[in-house]
Amino acid sequence: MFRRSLRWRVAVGASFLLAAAGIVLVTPELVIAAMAPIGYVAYSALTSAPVVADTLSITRTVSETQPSPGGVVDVRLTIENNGDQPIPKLRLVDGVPADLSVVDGSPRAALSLRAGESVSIEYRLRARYGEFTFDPVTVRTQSLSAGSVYTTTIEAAGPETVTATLDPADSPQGQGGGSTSGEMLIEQGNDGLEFFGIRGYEPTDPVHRVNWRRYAKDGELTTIDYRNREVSDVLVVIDARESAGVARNQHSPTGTELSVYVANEIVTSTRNYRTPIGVAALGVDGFDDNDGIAWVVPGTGREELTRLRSLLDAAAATVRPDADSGRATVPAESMLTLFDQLRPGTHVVFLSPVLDEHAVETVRRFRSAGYTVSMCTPDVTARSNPGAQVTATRRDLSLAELRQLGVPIIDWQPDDPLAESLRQALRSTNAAMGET
Amino acid sequence: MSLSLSDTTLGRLLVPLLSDTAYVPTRSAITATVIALGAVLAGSIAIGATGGAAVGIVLGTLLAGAIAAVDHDRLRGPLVGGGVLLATTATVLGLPAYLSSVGEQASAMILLAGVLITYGLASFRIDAVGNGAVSRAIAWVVRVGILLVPVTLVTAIVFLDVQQLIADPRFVGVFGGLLAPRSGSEGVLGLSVLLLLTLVSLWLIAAVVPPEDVFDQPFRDRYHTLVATSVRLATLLFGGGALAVIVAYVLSSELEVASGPIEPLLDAVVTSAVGRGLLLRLLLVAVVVTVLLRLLRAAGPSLVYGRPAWLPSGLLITAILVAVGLAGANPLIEMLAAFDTAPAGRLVDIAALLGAPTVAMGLVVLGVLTVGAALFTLPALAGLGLLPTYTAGPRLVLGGLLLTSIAMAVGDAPAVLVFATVVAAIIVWDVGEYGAELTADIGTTPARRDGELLHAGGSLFVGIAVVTLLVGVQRLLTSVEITDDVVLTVIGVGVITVIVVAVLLRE
Repeated sequence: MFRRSLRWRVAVGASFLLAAAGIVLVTPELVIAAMAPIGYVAYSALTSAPVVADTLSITRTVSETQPSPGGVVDVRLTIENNGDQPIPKLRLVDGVPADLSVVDGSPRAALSLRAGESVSIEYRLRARYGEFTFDPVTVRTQSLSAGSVYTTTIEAAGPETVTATLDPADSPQGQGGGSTSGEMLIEQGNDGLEFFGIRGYEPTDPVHRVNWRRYAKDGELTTIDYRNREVSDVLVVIDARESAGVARNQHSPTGTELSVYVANEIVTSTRNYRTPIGVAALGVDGFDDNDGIAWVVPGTGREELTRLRSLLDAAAATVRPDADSGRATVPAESMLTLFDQLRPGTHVVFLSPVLDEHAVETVRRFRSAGYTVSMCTPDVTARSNPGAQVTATRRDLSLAELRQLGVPIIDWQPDDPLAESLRQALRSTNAAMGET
Repeated sequence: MSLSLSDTTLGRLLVPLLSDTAYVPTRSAITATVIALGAVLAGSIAIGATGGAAVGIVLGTLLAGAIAAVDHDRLRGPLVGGGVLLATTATVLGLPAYLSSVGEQASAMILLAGVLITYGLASFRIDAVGNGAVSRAIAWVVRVGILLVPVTLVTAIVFLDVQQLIADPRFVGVFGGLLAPRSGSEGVLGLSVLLLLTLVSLWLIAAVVPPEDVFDQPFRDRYHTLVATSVRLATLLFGGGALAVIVAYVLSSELEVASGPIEPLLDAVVTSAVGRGLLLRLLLVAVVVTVLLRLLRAAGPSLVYGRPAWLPSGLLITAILVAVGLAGANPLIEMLAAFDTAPAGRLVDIAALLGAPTVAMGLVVLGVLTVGAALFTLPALAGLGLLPTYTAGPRLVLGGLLLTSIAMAVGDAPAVLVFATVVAAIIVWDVGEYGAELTADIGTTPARRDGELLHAGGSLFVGIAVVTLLVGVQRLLTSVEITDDVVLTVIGVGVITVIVVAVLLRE
């Protein structure tokens, strides 16, 4: 669509102003100078925006067409001028799905393309649960004077949709895992083969574990511990309650989606080490017979993986507008039933945006039941208005309370890559340990 | 270790002032700035008004920074920005007027041009025009003016010369009976009425003070006691005083009871000018306080108790202005007395009645409100569509450079320089507006931003051609032996024809 810009009206106004000043002040130079803006108006009238609907080809490539909800998708847009004439002023905006947010780079650009030249731009999207379709690319060319504007839309070649679900029917299967014991060993000395440490002798210690060499040398009775070969199960707990379904803005993923994303990353990477892993989702009803919580107990088999993905998908699906809002709290009986099915020594990784007291309460319950807990919490607070600032402050207080309980916490800013946040958390933990 | 801008002190100060909406990208901004400043400096050198240009450039920069800062935060921004805003705007208004009055019209025009140019250029990056920045600055200025008004009223009351007021025939008819220190029944009645009026005015204050419910419990009781005791004391003092004066007069004059000791005492009280002056001042202060309290209550609890963001800076600047006004009162009146003009004489007369500090404070209030009114020009132009939000900066620079070209023409600068300045004005506006439109289309951080220099190059190329053409036209016309009037008419008709043709061509 062609449009004649009104920007050069200003030049006509300037011309009148100078002419009037010249006449009033009786200065012929100003009256002659009044013709200068008119020269520019003529320049505007004589130049025209190029039509590019047929000469511009655009190709879109995406790193993943089926990312996990809350995951990132790299998009690359390649624009090529197939015409014989250069396009000096080309502006374009990729048709990013309205509900997805750009977390890095920009889908907008102003380009100057010679004939046959191609240019690529890249940006990164944060996926949300569901299927999202790219709109056509909006393209605008201008004449050299910017007085003539041509705007159109061009369909980009390449994938048109991004589908972010974890339904096993849609998602590619990860590694199935095997039945051999895993590599996540529990830090507990006892019987075993690998040396773990030396401690003071206790009367109940078996005689064959007494450190006789030391006794012969120093006369002190000590006992040798060997690393317990018991494998630690891992249970990833996702907060999918209604209170976690909050996002920084309408284009950003919710706390639930981000938690599911982290859970999926943990499940995938942990299963590569063949560690038994399970998932529990707070606030998910209807997945099994339990009330207000659904779970798959830690395991390593293919069936478990399929069920894990189904549960992750069910957790992510709680953010759909038509989904029933999850429970605000989880009944104590359901939690006790879960505890009954977990093996002692199971490590709990709790994923929650921590937007209410119940998140802290959940950690307390796991710890009081004897499980070690660590946390990763996506920060979905915006701090853009007083209400949001209050929420953010309450979250900070909750995190401080959890840290006082000794819970290791990774406070993840979703604009930063997850791997980088994990590295930073590890560095700060190491630094803190070094100081102590 | 490298620091990002936001990590530095300068960055922390500047980042909140930056504008996203009217952002002109770096290459366009640098191109426009170099051409604009070069043009205004060249123009000022050509007509010998370099000082005016330099002062204008500094004032424009300060003005932009002050307007952006005045709504920045609670104290630091408004305090520094507000003070600079008041001083800068007053200078921008006063200095050109002074230069014009001493025959330096060209310097005055160049100064104003410099202000417009640098203010517009600064708006390429900082939030100095558009987005309500100027309106917020005006609101702050008006609030300072509103704070100054009661201070000025109280100053007038304190420095009021009651004797002169009574001597003024315009007031005698109305207030003479109350204020004139006379003896006899007339004086007693006047003093009693004055005492009762003062009492009523104090009761009015008690009626409009905040209700005790707004305070917490420990303070509420003390507040209640304080108000109740004050009312009782005032009633006893002024009501009882009025009654005592009447009773004493009746006893001594009508019933002739103990007239010996009472009459001299009563006469001293009734004929005391100092006493009546104090009562009058108290009455007026009470009325002012009552009106203020009523206004504050009408403004709402959020304003009164919510400590609005403008209040700390507004109070501090008001205090500074009051100090300046009071300190400069006497020199001001002496200066006014030296002027032999009717307005100055009138101000000196007012100073004799209300005191020099009142006149000084009144002029400060007038100055502050004039600053607000002058700033209102910008929103008014925006409302008329002449300064759109996105492109106000480039248009202000255009206006400044056109003013420069007019000043140059008036100052007999070479014609080629005048033409070049007009072309520079169009180029700067074109480049700046193109950059702002680019931001509106693709944001401040696009994946790529090509084509800025290409656009500037095209505009410059056309500009060179236009200047060459205009020089040719000018030489052609000046080489023909015709009178100036005919030249003007011919050129005028020619220009209008070209404009009409150009407009038709565009359509």
